[in-house]
Amino acid sequence: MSLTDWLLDPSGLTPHGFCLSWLPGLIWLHAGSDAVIGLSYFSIPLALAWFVRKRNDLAYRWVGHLFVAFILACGLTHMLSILTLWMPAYGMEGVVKLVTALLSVATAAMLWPLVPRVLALPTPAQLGRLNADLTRTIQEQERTAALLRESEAKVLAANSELERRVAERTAELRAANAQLTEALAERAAALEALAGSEAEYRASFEAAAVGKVQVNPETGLMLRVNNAFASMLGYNRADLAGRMAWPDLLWGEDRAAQGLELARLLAGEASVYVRELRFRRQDGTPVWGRVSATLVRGAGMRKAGARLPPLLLAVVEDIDTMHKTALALKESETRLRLAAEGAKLGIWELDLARGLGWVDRRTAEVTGGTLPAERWFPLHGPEYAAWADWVHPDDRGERAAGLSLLQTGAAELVQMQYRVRRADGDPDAAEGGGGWIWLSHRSAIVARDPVTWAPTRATGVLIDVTERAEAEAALREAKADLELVVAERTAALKQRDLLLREVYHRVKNNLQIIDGLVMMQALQLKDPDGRQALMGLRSRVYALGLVHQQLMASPDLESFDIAPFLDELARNILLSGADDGVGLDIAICPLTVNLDFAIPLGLLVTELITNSLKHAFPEGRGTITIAMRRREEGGVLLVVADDGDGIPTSPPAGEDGGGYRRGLGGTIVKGLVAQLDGTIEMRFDKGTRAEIILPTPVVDVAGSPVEMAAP
Amino acid sequence: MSDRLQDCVLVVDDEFLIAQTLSIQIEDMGLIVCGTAATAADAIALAKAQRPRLVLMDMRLKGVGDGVDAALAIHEFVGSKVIFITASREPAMLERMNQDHPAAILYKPVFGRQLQTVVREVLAAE
Repeated sequence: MSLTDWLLDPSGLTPHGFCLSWLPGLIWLHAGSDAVIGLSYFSIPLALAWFVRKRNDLAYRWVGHLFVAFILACGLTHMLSILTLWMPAYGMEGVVKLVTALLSVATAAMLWPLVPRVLALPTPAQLGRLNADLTRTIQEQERTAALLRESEAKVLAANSELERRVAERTAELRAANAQLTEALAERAAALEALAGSEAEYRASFEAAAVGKVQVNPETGLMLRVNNAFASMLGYNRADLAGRMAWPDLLWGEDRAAQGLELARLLAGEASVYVRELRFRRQDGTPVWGRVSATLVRGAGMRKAGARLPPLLLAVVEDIDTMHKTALALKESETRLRLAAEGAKLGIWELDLARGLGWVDRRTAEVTGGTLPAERWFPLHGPEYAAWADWVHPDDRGERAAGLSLLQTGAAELVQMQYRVRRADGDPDAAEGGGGWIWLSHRSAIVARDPVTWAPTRATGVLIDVTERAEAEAALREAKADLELVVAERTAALKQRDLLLREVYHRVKNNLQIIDGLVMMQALQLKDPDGRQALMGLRSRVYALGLVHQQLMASPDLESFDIAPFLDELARNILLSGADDGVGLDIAICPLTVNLDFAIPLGLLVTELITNSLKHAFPEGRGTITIAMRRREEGGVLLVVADDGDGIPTSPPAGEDGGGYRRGLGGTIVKGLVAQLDGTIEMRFDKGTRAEIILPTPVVDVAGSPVEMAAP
Repeated sequence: MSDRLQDCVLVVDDEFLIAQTLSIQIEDMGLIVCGTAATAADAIALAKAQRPRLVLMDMRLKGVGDGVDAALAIHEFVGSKVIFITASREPAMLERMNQDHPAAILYKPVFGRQLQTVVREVLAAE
């Protein structure tokens, strides 16, 4: 089907008239009505379009155009309804309705939000009211303009009156001016007369090294200042003259007093005042100035008809440095005085050129008033001679010599100490000190004659050092006492050492004698067993002697190192009783012991070595080992062993509890081990081996055991 | 000087028994003891008279002077060798003994073959 067919005659549908059964009445009613509606609908948008087109100023003109389109489309639908009565153009009618629907929907949708905005537009009624108001305003303006024109006329009239009066006044002024010119001429002459002195004054004012100020005494305002004054206060001249008041420049505390004096000056009670006071600098610090002020009354200008006000003229000198120096000096003097008082220092001075002396109050007190305080007195006068008598007779020579050194200029500094009679009569001190006090004298030459170089001035201090001197004396005494005690103790110790040495010496000598006796006795014996027994006795005696020998060599005569002792003991026993084939292997740790430990130990080792020598080496060769070391678990371990074959023939029967042979040697060994609180263990596997564990000996010695000297 | 010395030994000790013991030991070595003295003066006199090769000298002696005094004198007048036998090990004493350049020093107690060994060494060192 073509589009044209679809639009105008789709698939043989019947025209709309068919539905109306082609009843002419009904057909024409529809056709007529639709025609009228359609024409009307064509008419309305034409009118609207014309209106919108003419009124460019309308708001929302696009709404007008939308209405035109929408109503035109409605009209077209009605026209197509007429056509469809006779022709089945339903496609076209549908398309037109669709267009109409779209336009109407758009119009409806856009109209709602527009309503409030359109309502906000001014209505013609409102506009009319505005117009009326405007009209009223214009009328009022016109009335005002009329009034203005009226006033202008009046002013013109007044102006002419004024001009007339000005003319009159001008005439009067002209007359007055003539008079004034005359007066000015007079005044100029007067000023010219003044000019000379004025220029001179100005120059001196400006260039003065001291500060100069002119002040209005009534207001206090400074009228003129010079550079010296401005710079003294740290200002620019322009900041002061005509800007600041004189009292404002004064230091707060000085302002009131100054004001009073100013009042007196103004009242005529004083013609000039001079005062030292502080000013406030621009940076807020004070500066001392000496002000000389005078009041000048404004005379002399009356002739010119002008009376000048009175003027305060002030000269200000900067005395800040001077003032501060003076203050510092005073402070320093005060400090010195306090220090002198605190240190109980007396100060004195000699004027050697004039032969005068001076002492301060403290020195005068020391002299008991013999010398006057703070007053010059003659050195050859009676006062000074009386003072010399106060000095302790034993010290007079020294003092005179010292002073002579100073007075002749031989020494720049003189320092000495002498006693003088006590002036204050303090009973406590007098008791111990015997009425004398010790003075420490220090003096120096401070001025000499430039030509002769002879000393002209000397000054010095006196300090009462009695307490110190007494304390020193007491200390010396205490020290002497202590030294005496130490000396006594040292002597006692030496005596004790001497005695001990003597005892040891005698013991050794006696042992040597015993040894000799035993040896001689042994020589007498024919029985070899008896001889051997006596030789064994000699070894034991030797051990005792060697202990005393070691003791004598020790610094404290009480303890010594066991190592060299055992070494020497073993070697000597071997030397005296063994064949040359027997060797020694000794390894003994250092151990400090005393007599109580060394004697049993020495005898013990002697027994064990002697035993080995007796039994172990039938062949005459072998080694004896002696070792001693500290055990980690405490105590010391002593081992005496041989590598011989001295196994006892019947060990169980031949041993006692200690595992040692019966006999004197065995008893001694067992007893000595017990005496030393030790234990002994004997082994006979490869030679004989004795292991003895002993508690470490406690030695109470003053010196360190390390310092023990090996013999 | 030594060629004029006699092949004998002088024993000086103020203790009779010690002097005796030393003498026995010396004689035991086959040497001759030419005398024993108990004082420094006796020792010097004996040494001058006997001119021994060797003197066994105790430090402490009876009377005036000690072993060192005697030894110095003997050394000067005779030139014998001196073996000091002392019970003392005090440094001051040792210093005095060393003034005489002793041939040996033995400390009491002198024991066993100690003396004989030292005497043999000293005589062999001539």
